[in-house]
Amino acid sequence: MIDIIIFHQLAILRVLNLVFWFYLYKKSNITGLNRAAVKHFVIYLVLFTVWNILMIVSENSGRVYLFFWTIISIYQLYFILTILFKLAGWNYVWIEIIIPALPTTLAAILSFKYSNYQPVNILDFFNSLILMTSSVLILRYILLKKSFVENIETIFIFSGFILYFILQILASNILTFNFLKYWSFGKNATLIVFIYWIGSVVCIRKIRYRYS
Amino acid sequence: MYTENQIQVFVIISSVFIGLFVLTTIYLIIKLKLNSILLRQSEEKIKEYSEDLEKMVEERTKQLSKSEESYKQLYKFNEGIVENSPAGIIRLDTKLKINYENPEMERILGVPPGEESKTIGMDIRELSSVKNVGVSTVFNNLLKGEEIATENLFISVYGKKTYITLKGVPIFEDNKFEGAVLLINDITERKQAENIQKTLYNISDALNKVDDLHELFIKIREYSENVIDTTNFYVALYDEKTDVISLPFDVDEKDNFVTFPAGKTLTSLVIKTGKPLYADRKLQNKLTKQGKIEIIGAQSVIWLGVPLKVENKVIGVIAVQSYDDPNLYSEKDIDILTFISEEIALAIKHKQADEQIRRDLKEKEILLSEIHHRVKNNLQVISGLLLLQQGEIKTKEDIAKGFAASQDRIQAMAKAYELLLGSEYISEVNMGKYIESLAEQLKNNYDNHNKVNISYSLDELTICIEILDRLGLILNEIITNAIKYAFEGREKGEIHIELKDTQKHFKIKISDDGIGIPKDVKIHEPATLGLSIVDMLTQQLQGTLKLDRENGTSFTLLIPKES
Repeated sequence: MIDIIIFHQLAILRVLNLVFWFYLYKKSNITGLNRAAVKHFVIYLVLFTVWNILMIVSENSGRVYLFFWTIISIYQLYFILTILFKLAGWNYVWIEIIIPALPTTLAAILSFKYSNYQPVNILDFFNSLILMTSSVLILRYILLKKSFVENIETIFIFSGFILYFILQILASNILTFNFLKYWSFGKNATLIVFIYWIGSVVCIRKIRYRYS
Repeated sequence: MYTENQIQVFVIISSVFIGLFVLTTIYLIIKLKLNSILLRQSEEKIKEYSEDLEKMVEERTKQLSKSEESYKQLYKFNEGIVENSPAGIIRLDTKLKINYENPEMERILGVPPGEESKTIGMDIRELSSVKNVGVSTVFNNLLKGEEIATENLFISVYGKKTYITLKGVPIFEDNKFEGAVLLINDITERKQAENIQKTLYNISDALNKVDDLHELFIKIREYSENVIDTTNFYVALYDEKTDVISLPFDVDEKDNFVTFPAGKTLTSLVIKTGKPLYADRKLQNKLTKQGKIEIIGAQSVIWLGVPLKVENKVIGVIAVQSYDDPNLYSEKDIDILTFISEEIALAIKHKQADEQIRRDLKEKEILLSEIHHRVKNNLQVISGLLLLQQGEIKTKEDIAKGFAASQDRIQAMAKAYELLLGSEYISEVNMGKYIESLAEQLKNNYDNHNKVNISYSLDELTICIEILDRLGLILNEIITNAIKYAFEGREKGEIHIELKDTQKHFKIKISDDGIGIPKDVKIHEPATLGLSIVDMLTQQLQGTLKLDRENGTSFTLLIPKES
């Protein structure tokens, strides 16, 4: 049992996260940007869950990993930047979102070609920096300009993202500086954030119940 | 030291704790933030509410201020209405005690000016029950929540009599009796007008139904009691010829006059001035001092008299008086008494006209029977004259002469009746006119050459028809003789007829300057029919006939007036 938990801890937490946030998405009476954020987040979790399942069942996990890493990285970029642009009130074009995704794809191709994860790890690091900065900006916009209570779900999602990207940057650095011994640090960072996000659903319900 | 699995578990548990720690921290931060937001929002809300409340208070204050102003205006308006209301208003408390009266109500009660009403605090039932029996119980209905309405003669505690209409409305608050408001209208004038109308109607009715004037006066006094005190009441009629005032109707507590000289009494003063007189003791004394009146009999403290006028002529006075109550009458009563006086004057006029009609009718009845008698007598006279004339007929010429003479005699009689028709009096004729008319007619008949001139000297006097028809026959014979025979063979002749009124007789003298009547003709032994008729009728009239033959012929006839 412990082995299963140790081995599949993230997969279990991803499913739990998906269930919790999907439940929240369906049951909560949320609207506007907040709803869009939750919706993108649920899709993001679905992609993660599918990635995990395919990783478990696939024989060639390396290709699956690279493929889903690319998809999720692009989607992450798209999701977070979309929310940021909406909050900032910028007129964006699809292409402007896709352009930052090109390096991601290129990194995946390079990693695949040379059978080396270093390109994706490096890009992951920079993507994490961009996304963390974007998440910070999103939170700043919400806290300064938008109603705090109305966007509580978005706050929890993006505070989780900030935590996630901070930990990911740390984990990437470790790998970047070739401390391979601590490669599982990134895995533990994801665990911490998943725990945070699952707990967020409970907190959101509690806050909604109390302050609505 | 530790297995790989143990380390893994430890790392997982540590990760979970870290995740939970971060979550708790973020949650607490969010909660704190939320609380601060809510606090700020609450403060803002409180501030908004406070501002709203301030605005509301301000608006409410303004509204209250406006309401207060409106209330003050409304109060003044209502106060104005109540104070100046033409209706008396009384406010009663829960025990039906009076706690407010408006000025009109004080007037109705008769509260002396400047004094406080002594009815404030009185129970309305006591106020109205002392002299107004049966009214007090009505007010109990107010306690039951019923509206009341009544019309009555109200005698106030000040003794003032007023006809009123009363409407009472109970006031309830939360089904609890809080008092009542009474609205009282003074309808005395209307009631008095109704009474006057009723009295006048009764008097007019009595005028048509009652024949006897005295009985009529009794009725008038009885009906007038409704509108004016007639304890001492008299109707005085003035006789201009004798300057005496007679009292055809007099009811008096002290005096009992039937007639009295007009002199300088209050009654004669009204007759002379033709105006009503309201004389209290002060005015009576003043008029006495001025010598305008002299008091006869007991002196009244108040005397009120108005003239009785028939066709603008004062024929008398109707008067009421009191010996003890100087306030019994007011100057307003002059109008009432004037109304009554007009009715009485009308009654007297009707009565006089009625008596005149009755007198005339009686006279006509007598006259009618007299005419029958006269027609019979006249026909007998004519028959007798024709019989006498018949005895004179001896030749054919006598027949024609006889007819002509008879015709003259009948016309002489008819002339009297002709004048009687135009006479003012139905049985009396102007004698001068008759004589002149008869003489002119005879001149036209017999003086064809117009040689006779007849002159007259006639006094204005009347004579009754019974004497005149026989006197006419006498004059007819004498004047005819004079015209026919006195101036035979002459060109001109004068006949003078004189009528004199001596005290006891009518004196008629018919003289001519003709050839004179033959000396053998004796007046009391006549040889002709004409003179026989003259002599006979003179005797019938108990008169005397004198014949004078100097300077022509002159007949002097003296007829006693009582013949």
